[in-house]
Amino acid sequence: MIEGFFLGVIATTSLVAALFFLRFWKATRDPFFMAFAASFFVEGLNRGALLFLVNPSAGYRWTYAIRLLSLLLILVGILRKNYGRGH
Amino acid sequence: MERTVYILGALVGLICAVLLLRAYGRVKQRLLLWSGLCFAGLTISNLLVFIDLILFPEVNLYMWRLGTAVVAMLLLVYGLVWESE
Amino acid sequence: MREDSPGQELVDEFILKEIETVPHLEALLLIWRSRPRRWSLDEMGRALFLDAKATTPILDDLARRGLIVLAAAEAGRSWEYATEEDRDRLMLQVEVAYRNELIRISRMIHAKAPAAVREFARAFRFKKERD
Repeated sequence: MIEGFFLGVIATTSLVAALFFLRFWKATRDPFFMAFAASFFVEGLNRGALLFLVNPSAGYRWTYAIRLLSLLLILVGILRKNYGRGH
Repeated sequence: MERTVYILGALVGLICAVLLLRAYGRVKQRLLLWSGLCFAGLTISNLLVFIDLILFPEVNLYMWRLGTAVVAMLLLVYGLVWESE
Repeated sequence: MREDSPGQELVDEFILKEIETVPHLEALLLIWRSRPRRWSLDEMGRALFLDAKATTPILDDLARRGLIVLAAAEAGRSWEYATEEDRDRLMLQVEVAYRNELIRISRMIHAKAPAAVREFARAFRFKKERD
């Protein structure tokens, strides 16, 4: 149960963080914040989905792929901030 | 593939943590502190996954992995709520 | 009515880039107008109607941006304007602009995203030019 609780906390806080970054994007129009918002949103859903699995500690293929996506979103965001057009 | 993802996760977390905490050292903006600590915690969580599943598969560090991530995310949300004006 | 002169653009750019809040601008203008007079924390606080705790970060921020400079550290800190030819000319225009367009400039400053948010984004810049 505690595992489920922890996963729930991580999922929810990730979604909340995503909302904050979305708000920052609205205030600054800086796509950098959108990258963070998307990343945390994706990871939030990812963690949440694990709640529905029988054995969340083992790890699943798709969960890695989604996490990879969330990481790439941040990396691309950082790179575009520094080397992208009109930076 | 799992190995790469966790290492990349730790790396991205580390980059973010270093950039944010260094900036905090310069301008003392508290949001940078909390978010920097969050990414540091997520880095640790990622490293623990790697250690748990790949280096020491006989030991179950799952609760520690989750626990560090929980603390890290709580720090971030705390910072976002109180310090983002 | 009044067409945008290149001067206004530069003034706006300067304010957006370097001025965090209206008290920041007022502090800078006070120091600029009275140059080369040195201001202590208390004097500036009184002029801005703020206490020392609120005044310190303002002066520290202006100093960090190179707009003013810490003149003396003994017997309490004091600050003075940091002279720089190009900026001096701009300051004249900033002063005039603020006097004539107080509301527009105040609104512009208030519309900036909170400093924390901007600093978060700035933290990820590899080349640390100011903003």
